[in-house]
Amino acid sequence: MSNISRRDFLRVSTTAVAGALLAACGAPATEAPKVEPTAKPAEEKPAATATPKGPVRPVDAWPVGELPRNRTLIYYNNTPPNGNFALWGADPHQAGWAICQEPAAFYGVHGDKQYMWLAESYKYADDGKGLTVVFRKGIKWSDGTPFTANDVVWSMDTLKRVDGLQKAGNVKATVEKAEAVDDLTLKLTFNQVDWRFFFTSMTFRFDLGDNTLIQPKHYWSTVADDKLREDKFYDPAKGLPISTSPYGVGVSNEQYTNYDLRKSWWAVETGFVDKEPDVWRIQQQPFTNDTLAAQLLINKEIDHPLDLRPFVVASTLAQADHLSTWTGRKPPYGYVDWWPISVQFCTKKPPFDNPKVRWAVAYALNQQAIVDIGWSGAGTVAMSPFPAYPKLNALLDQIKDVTDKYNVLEFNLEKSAALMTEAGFTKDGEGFWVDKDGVRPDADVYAGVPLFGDIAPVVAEQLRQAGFYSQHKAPPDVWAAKVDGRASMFLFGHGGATIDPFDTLQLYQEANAAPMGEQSWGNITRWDDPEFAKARQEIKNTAPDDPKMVELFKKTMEIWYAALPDCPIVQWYHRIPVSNWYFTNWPDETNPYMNSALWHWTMLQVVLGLKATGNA
Amino acid sequence: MTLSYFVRRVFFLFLVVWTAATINFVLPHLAGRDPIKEQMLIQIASQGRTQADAEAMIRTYTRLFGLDRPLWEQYLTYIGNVMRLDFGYSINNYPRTVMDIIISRGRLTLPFVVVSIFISFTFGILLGAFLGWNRTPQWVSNLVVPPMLVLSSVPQFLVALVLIYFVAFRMRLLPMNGAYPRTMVEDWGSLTFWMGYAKHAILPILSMVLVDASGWALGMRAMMVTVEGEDYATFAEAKGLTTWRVFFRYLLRNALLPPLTGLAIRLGFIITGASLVESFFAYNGLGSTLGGAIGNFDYFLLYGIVTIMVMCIALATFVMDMIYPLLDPRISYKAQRG
Repeated sequence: MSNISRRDFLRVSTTAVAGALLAACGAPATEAPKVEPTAKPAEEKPAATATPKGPVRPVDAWPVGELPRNRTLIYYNNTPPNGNFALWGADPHQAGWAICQEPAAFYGVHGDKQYMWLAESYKYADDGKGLTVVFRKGIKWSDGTPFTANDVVWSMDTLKRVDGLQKAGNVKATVEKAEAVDDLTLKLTFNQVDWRFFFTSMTFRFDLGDNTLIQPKHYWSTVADDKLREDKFYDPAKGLPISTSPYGVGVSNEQYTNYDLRKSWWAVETGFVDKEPDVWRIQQQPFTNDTLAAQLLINKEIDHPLDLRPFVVASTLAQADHLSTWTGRKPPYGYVDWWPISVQFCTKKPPFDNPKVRWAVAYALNQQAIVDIGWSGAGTVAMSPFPAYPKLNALLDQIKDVTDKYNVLEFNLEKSAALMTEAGFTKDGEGFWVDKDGVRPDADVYAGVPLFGDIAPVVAEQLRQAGFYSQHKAPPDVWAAKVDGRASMFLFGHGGATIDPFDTLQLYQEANAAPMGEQSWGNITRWDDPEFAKARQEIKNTAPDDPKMVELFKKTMEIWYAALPDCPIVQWYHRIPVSNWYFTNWPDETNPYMNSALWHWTMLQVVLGLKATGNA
Repeated sequence: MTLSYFVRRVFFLFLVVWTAATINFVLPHLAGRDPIKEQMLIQIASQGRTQADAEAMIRTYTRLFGLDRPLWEQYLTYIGNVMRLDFGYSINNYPRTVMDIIISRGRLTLPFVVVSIFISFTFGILLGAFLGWNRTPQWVSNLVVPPMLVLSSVPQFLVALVLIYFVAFRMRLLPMNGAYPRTMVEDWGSLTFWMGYAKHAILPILSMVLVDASGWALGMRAMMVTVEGEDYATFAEAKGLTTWRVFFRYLLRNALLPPLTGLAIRLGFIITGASLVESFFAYNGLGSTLGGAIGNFDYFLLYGIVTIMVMCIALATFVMDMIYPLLDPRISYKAQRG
C-alpha cells in the first residue's frame, strides 16, 4: 500500500467527515406540508367564559397546516405512535390514538353515566345467550362510506378467524355467531351466558377491557389475513386511519402526533351532537418526567400531562392559578382509578402459603399512615380489592357483616404477633420473626418506581416495626419477580371491576394459579379455592343487577377475606393537573362527565366537553 | 501502511463485532425472562385483558418473533440479521421495525451529540493546553481550574436540569424540551427547520459541553505539563522559535495523541452517549429508547441498538489504529522487533 502524507490525510479526512455529517443529517423525512412556528403567546389575560369568535377553521387541506394554539389541546403522554396505528397488531393500550375510535357506547363511572354512541339501544336475549344491538342512522366513515352493522360483524368475525389479534379474547371466547339483521341491527349469539358483553366488549370505559374496535370492512377486507397485524393503517394523504371519529391523524412522528378535526363528522351532520368540538387539534407529545411536566404546565406549554405524584401536584398548583385538578386545588387532587393497591402474597411460597401469616401482615399494616406519610394525606385507604365506585360500594355496604368480621383496616400489632406465634414463629435477638430453624422469612416488598416509590418504603418500614425482616425492593425486572415467584410480597393493583365485581374476582382463576417453579402471569398471587371458583362462576352467569348477586358476592368475599390472598391498602388515584388557560370545562368532581385521563379510551368524551377560552 | 497490517485490523474489527454480537445475544437469554409473556402480564394487569386473549397473543407473537425455535437456530438467524443490519420487528413497538426506530430516533440525537462532542473537544483541548502551558499566568489557572474540577465531576443531566430550570423555565429564553418546534414537521432539507432544531439544541449542547470540555481540559492540562519537560520542547525554545510556534507545533501537537484516542472512544458512544440529557430534553432519541428496551426486555430493539453501538466503537478504534501513524510519525505500522 502506498504511503499517504499526513497533510493529504488531514485535508481529505476533514473534508470527508464534514461531508459525511451533512449527508447523515440531510435525509429529508417530510411527512406533511411545512408550517411555520406559531407566534409566541402574548402576556396573560383573564379567561373568557364563552367560546369566542376566533379564526375560521381551515377545512380544505388535509393534513391540516398551522392551527392556533388556543384551539390546540396539547397532552403530554406516552410516546407518540409515529405512524403506527396497527389496530390489529400493535398494543393499543394508552397509545394515545383512542381519539380515533368510537365505540357502541361510553361509560363514565364517576357520574355513573352511560353514553350510547354508535349504538342507539341494545337488548340481551332472555337466557343471556344473545344480544341485539341497534346502531344509529346516518353514521359515516371518514371517507364517506356509510357505516353499517356489517362492519361490526366483519370486525368480530375477523377477531375470531385470525389468531393473535389485539382485543380478541372476549369475542373468541363468547361469540358463536355475529350477523347483521339489517344495516343497523347486529345480532350476536353467544356460546355461553354473558350478561356483560355489551359492557365489556362494546363499551369504552377507562383504559380497560377487550373492547371490540369496530373497523371499516371496506378497507380491511382488502388486506390479507396474515398481513392484518403488520398494516400500520397510516397514510395522511389517503385519509388513513379511516374512522367514524371527528379526529383524524394529520402528522405523526417521534416528537408528536397531531389528531386534527376532520372536515365533517356524522354526529354533527345527523344532529346527534349540537356542534363540532372546540378543539381543532390534539397534539400528543412524549412524557419525560414529572418535573418537566409541571414546568410545562406552569408555562402553559401543555394542557394535560400523565398523572403526577401528590407532592408534585401540590407544588405545581401553588405556582400557577390557571391549573386545577379533579378535586379543584385541594387534596387528593384526583379521582379514584380502577386499580386499588394491595400488598399481594405469593401464596404458594412459605411462609405466605399460611393464611395466618397473611393476616399477621394485614394487622401489621396501618393503611391510614401509609396514605398520610406516603401521599401526605392525599388519598384514601382501601378495605377491599375493589375501587370505591358507587355500584361496588353499594354491594360492599350490603355485606358489611363480612367486612366487619374481616377488617383489613384494623392495625393491631398484638393480633399480628399472636398469629405469627400460632404459625410457629418466634422472635430473634433483634426482634425479627424467625422460623423453627432460626431463619428470618423473606418479607421484602417488591414494588416498581416511580408508581410505588412514595408508599412502598412506608409499607416495608411498618412491617419491620412488626418484626418482619422487610425492605422495599425495586429491581429492573420487578414485573418478572412477581410472576416467577421470587417476590414473596409485592405491591400491585387489581384490574378492573367498575360496576360489578366479576372482573376483579376473575383475577383469582384456579387455571392460572401456576405451581412454584413456573411463571404465574395470569394469577400472580397463585391463590385458588374450589368453593370460591364455584361461586365466581355463578356470578359470571348472573346479571349484575340480579338480586341474587348480593348473596353470591357475600359468599365469594367471605372465602376471599378468610384466605386473604392480598391485603388491600390504598385506592389508586389519577392526579392530573389540567390547564384552564386555553380550554375549560374539564371534568371534575362537580361535573364528572368522564374521568379526565386523555390516555384512556374515553378521551373523545373529555375532548367533546372542553370549551375554548380564546385566550392568547 | 502495509496491506497485511490493514487486513489484520479488518479481521480484528470483524472479530470484535462478532464477539460483542454473540455476548449481546447470549446475555438477555441468560436472564431467563420471556419478553412476550412479560408484555402480556403488563397488559393483563393494566387493562384487564382476559386470559384467553393473552394466551392466544403469546402463542402468535412467540411464533412471529421466532422465540419458539431452538436457541441455536435463533442465534444463526440473529447473526445473519446483524450482517444485513436487519433486526426485524421491535417487540414493544410492533409492527415497527428496529431499523426504522433506530433511524428515525437516531437522526434527532446524532446532530446535537456530534456538535457537542466536537465543541467540547476543541474548546477543552485548547483551554487545557493553555492552562498547562508554563507561560500562562498563575492567576488564570487559579480562577479557571476549580470550576472546571466541579463541572467535570457533575453528571451532564444535573447541569441539564439546572439549565432547564433557570434558562428555559424561569427566564423562558430557550425551549424547555423537544428536538424542534412542534409546529414544524421534520424536514432536514429546510433551513427554517434547521434553525428550529438548532435553537432547541442549544441547552442540550451546553449541558454536554460544560461537563465534557472541563474533562478534556483537565486531561490536556496534565499532558501539557508532561511534554513541556521533553528535550524537543527545550530545544525548540533554545532555537529561538516563536512562542506560539512552540506552543502549537511542539507542545500542543505532541500532547494531543492521548486525547485523540479518548475522542475516538467517545465517538464510539455517539449513539447513546447522551441518553440522560436527551431524555431530560424529551428528544425521544436512541439513548432513552435503549433504556426502554432494557426495561421492557425488547430483545430485538436491544440487539439492534447495542450492535450499532458496538460497530461504532469498533469502527472508531479501527480508524484510530489506521491514522495514528499519520498523526504521529513516531508510530509505525510495522511490527516491533525485539
